[in-house]
Amino acid sequence: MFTDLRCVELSTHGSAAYAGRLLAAMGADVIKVEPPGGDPMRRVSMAGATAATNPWFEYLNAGKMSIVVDLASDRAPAELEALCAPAKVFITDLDPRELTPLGVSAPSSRTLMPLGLLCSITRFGWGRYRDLRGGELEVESFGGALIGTGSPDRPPLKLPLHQTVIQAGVVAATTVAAALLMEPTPRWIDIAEVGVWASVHHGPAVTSAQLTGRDRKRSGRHAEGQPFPHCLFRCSDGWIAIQASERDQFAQFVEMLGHPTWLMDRKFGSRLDMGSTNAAAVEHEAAAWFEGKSRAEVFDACRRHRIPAAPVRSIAEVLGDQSLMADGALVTSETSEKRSVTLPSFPAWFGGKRIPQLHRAPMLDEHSRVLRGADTLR
Amino acid sequence: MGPLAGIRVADFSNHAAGPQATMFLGLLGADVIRIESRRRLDIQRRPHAVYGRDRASTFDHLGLHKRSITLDLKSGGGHALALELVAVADVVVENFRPGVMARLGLSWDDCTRVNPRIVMVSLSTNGQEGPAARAPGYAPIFAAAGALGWITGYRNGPPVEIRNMMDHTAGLYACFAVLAALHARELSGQGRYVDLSAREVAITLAGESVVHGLRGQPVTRMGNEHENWVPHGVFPCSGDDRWLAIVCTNDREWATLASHIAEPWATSSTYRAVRGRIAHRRDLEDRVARWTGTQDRDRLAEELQARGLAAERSFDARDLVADSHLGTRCAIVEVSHPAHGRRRTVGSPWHLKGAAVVPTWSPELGAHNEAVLCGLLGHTTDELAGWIRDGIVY
Repeated sequence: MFTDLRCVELSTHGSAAYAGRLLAAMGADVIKVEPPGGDPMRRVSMAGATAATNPWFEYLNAGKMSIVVDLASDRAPAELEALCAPAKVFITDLDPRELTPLGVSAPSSRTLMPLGLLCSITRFGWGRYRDLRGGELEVESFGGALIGTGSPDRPPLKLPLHQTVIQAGVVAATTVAAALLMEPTPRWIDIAEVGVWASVHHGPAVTSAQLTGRDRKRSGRHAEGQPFPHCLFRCSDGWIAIQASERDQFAQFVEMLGHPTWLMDRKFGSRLDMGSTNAAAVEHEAAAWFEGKSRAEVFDACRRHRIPAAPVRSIAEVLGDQSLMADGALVTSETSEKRSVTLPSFPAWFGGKRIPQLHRAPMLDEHSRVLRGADTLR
Repeated sequence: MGPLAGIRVADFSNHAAGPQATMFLGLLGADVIRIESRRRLDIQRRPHAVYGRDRASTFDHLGLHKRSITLDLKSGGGHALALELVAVADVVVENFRPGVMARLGLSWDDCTRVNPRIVMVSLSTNGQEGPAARAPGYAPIFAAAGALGWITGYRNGPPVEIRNMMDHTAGLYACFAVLAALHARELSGQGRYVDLSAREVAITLAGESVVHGLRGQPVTRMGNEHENWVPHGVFPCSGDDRWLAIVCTNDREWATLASHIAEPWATSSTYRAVRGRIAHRRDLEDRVARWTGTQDRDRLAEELQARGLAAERSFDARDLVADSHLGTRCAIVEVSHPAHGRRRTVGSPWHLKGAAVVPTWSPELGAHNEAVLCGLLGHTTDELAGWIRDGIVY
C-alpha cells in the first residue's frame, strides 16, 4: 500500500511508534530514531515479564529500522535533518518542551523537515496546556474516557493496557495517510491525545449532556443507558457478553430464559430499568437459568435463538483459538534475539490476502551504517 | 477542503462501527452518501431508549457531514440506482452480516463490474469467511471475543463493560484501511476489497497482553494500578462524582505530593521509597483518597500541576463541552442545523494544516434524494417522482 513512503519516527511513549507500526505494516519504510541506550520501551515490561526484549516493544516496532541519534548533542538537529531529507513524513510523540531544541517550537514553524510532513502527537496539544504533565491515566481522565468506565460504587476505571497509545497511533496513521493524498502535501499534523478521546469516543454523550443535562454514568457490567440485556452475565466458568438490542432479539432472549411474560408484564419496568435500577432483581430471577451452565452452553443457546453473544475470553483462550492462527490474525515472526514471537496482524484482509508478514522489531542501531552511508535501505 | 475532497463514498453501513468509519471519511472531506431505508430505520435514527428523540437527529452524531438518500435495495429499481451510485463512487462501506450485500446484488464482484477502481470495505464481527462469519455482533461481543473485555476491570473484580470504544475504534481502523487502499489505487489504478474483523481489532487493542500470554506470562486485570508507580489512581474530590487522576512515577514526585498534602502520615518513612509505597499500596492510596476527598478537584489539579506533578481532572461530557482548550482544538465544535440552530458536537481528533473541514449536521432521512439521484446521477425529477410513487425511493 505505502511502498513508496519513507517515514522517520521518534517516539518516547509509544503513540508515534504505533502509528509507525501501522504504516510499516502497509509497506512503508519506517526509520525509528532511538537515543543512546535505546527506546525506553525496550526495557519497560509488565509484571512477570522475563524476556530480554520487551513484548510491548516487539509489538510496537515490528517491521522498522533502527538508528541511534543523541538528541542531547549539538549535532542532533543536523543529523535528524539529514535523516529526514529523503523521507516524506516525520512522526513524533515528543512533547513540545522536547521538540523545541530540535527547532520545532510549533508544528507550523520549524526547521526540521522543511519540505515534508511533520506529524506531532502530544499529550495535551500545543496550546495553553502544552506544559501539562501526565501519562495515559491523566490523558484518559481529561479526555473523558474514565468517568463512564467502571462500577458506580467505585472510582472511574482506567482503560486496560495502553489504549491511549493505540488510539492516538491509529489516528496519526490515518491522518498521515489522508494528508499524503493531498497535493501539495500539508506541512504538519497536530494531534493531541486528549482530543482523540474527547472527539472520537464521546459523540452521543456530548450531545445529550447539552440537551438533557444527562451524562454518562459508570454501570459496571451493564451498558448504562441501553436496553436490557446489554451486559455481562456470570456463567459457571466465567462471563458471557449478551446484547439483544432489537425487540425480536429481546423476545428470543426472554423465551430462552423461560420468562416470555417479561415481554408484556413489565414487572421490572422498562428495558432500561431492567439494566439499571432493577438490574439486581432481574439478575436474581435470571440466575436460575444461567445456574450451572458453562459459557459454551449459554453461547450455544444464544446462537440457536439468534441472540448476539460471546464468551468473555481470556488472553489464553484467545491464543488457544487455532482459527486465529490459521486465519492469519496472529502471525509468528522472529525477534531480534532470534526468538519466535507471535503478534496480531492488521485486522483485515486486502484483496483476499493478509498484509505480508511484518519483519521483526529491529535491534538497537541495527541500520545505522546503511542509513548513514548507502542510498538503498533494503 | 479536506484531504479527501473529490472522493465519494457510497455508505451502506448502519448502527455504529460502519457509520463511524464513514464519519471519519466525511471529516476528512469526502462526500459521504448514506443509502438508508424508511422500513428498516437505522438504530441511530430511532428514538433513543433514554434520551428520546429530537427532530434534529440529535443523537446520531455519526451522521455528521453526510448526505442521505432512501432506496429500496430489494427492488430492481432501487438496486439499479445503488449500482449507478457505486459507478460514480470511489469507496463503498458496509457492515451487514456476511452474505447480505451479495444477496442484494452489491457484492465486491457486482461493484467492480460497474467500477473497477472501487475500494470496498466490509466491516463485520468475525470477517467474511470462516465458521464464525455469520455470527451477529455488537461492541461488547467484539471485546469479549477479542480478550479486551476480559482484561478490563478492577483488580480482583469481574470484567466491566468497555462501552463505545470498540465500535469507534473498529470504524477508525476501517477508515485507515480505506486510505491505504486508496493509496494502493493511486499506484496500481485498481480498486481493492478490504475485509475487516471487529474481533481482530479488539485483539490489536489487547496486543501487548497477547504477546505476554504467548510467553506464558500471566496477564490480569489491573484496574487503576500500575505495578511500579504508587500512587497511580483516580481519587475522589469534594462534590458529586468529581475525580482526580494522580500519578507519582518516582520518589521525588511522591515527596512533592507528600509536602503538598502536609499531613504527618504523608511524610512517613514507610512511604518514602517506592518499595514501601508498593508494599503498602492499598493503605497509602486509601489515605490519599481521604485527603483528596476534602479538596476541590479543579483547584487541586492546578496546584499539583504547578508543582510539576501529573494530575488531571476526570472530565465528564459537560466538562468536555465547556473546556475552552478542546474547543480551540476543535475536538468539540459547533455545527448548525437549518431548523434548530447551532449545537455542539464532537469534531476531528486531528489538526491538518490547510485541510480544515467544517462539519455539517447529520441529514434528515432522504434529504438528498433529489440532489443525488437527479443532480449527481442525472435523472429527471419526473423519474424521481415515479420512483417515490412506486416505493423504489422511499
